[in-house]
Amino acid sequence: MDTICEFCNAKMWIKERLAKSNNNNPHFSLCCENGKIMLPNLLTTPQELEVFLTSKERSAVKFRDQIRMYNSVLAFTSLGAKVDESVTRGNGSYSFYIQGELYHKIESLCLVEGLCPHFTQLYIHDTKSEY
Amino acid sequence: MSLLDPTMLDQLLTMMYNINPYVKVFKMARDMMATKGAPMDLKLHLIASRTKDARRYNVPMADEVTALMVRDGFEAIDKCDVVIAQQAGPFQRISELHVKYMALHYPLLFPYDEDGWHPNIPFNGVVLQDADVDLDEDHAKEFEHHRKHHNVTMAEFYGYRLQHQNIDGNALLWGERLRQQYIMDAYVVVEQNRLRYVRLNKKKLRGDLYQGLQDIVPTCDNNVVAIGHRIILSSSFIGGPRHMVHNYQDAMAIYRWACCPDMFVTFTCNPQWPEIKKTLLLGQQP
Repeated sequence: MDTICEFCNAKMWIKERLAKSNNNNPHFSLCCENGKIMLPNLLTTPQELEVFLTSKERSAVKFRDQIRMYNSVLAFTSLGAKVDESVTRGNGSYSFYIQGELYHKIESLCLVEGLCPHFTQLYIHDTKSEY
Repeated sequence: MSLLDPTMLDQLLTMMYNINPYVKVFKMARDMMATKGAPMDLKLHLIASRTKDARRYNVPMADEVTALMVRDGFEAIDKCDVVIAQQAGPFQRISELHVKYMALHYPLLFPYDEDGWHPNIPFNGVVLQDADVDLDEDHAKEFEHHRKHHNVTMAEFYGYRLQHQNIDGNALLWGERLRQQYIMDAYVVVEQNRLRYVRLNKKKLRGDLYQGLQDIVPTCDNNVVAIGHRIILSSSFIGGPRHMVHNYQDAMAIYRWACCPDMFVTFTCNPQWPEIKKTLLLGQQP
């Protein structure tokens, strides 16, 4: 990926250019529709998160293995869908089979009695860690 | 399954408390609830529409994304707004049109709660009506001419976000499995919206003309409801059965025109190629 899109700085292969453009002045539609889409960049990744995501240390490698679990702990919303369990049983690779729509859901601020706090509620009720 | 590392989690939580606007608001809510004599029905209002031009670089502030309300403030104005009450039943669904749909679900990829897609992101060069952007008439006219729509579509948005750009905010690229989950989620959102379009625009797509439905109507007296409705995915719906048949027939037409094929070529890609390795970011491996 030796070519940079002049509009959005995306790294592209030269062969991905539009047929109308030439090698010296390549244009691309895959990234930003030739400059039509211009969005604010994502902000610089916080230092501590960057270390976890890039370091070769054992703890960081383990973190990346479990990144989806860490994310679930910190997320405000949870995933919802009508899952069909009939195909998830048995051997072979795991497949996630749902009917209808997939959605994100958010829960109320207070706990339902008898349940542990989860998702958003963790930020409110987990008083062990006071910040 | 091994447990998560508590010290690491603690560091991440500290980071979230320092930079994430939502966490700040939730902390505020907690403090309010802890105060003695505080009103019991507190509501958190997650605002979907942004008043500022979202194309420009701006960090969402806590008071811009949420409003903390006591008792019956206003209900959701926009249908994508989310109002979290203190006790509002088991859960509430978030619309995928909400600007924070992804940011709320992937705090590790979007630690600052960066904006996601929403229906009103204009193309570059298209001028917002009430924005104080310099008018570039020629540019705007050119867009009028070429494009039927002036806003960035969902697929275009996610396509842009997933590019490997030369910028400093690379959490989305380093996310590994979380990135894959994000891509899957984005795909589902886009697909659901395409399907919804087909379902809600039956009249425009003239689904009733497809064989069967019109013939049945005269025969079954007044009981039309019993027929149900049939949603046909047109051949332009990529992935649908008509799309497959359409492509298959195209291929057969080419075959008839150009005679028997001599070769069947498939391409594979070796992730160990030096060209690919060269472009990986620090810490990434094929």
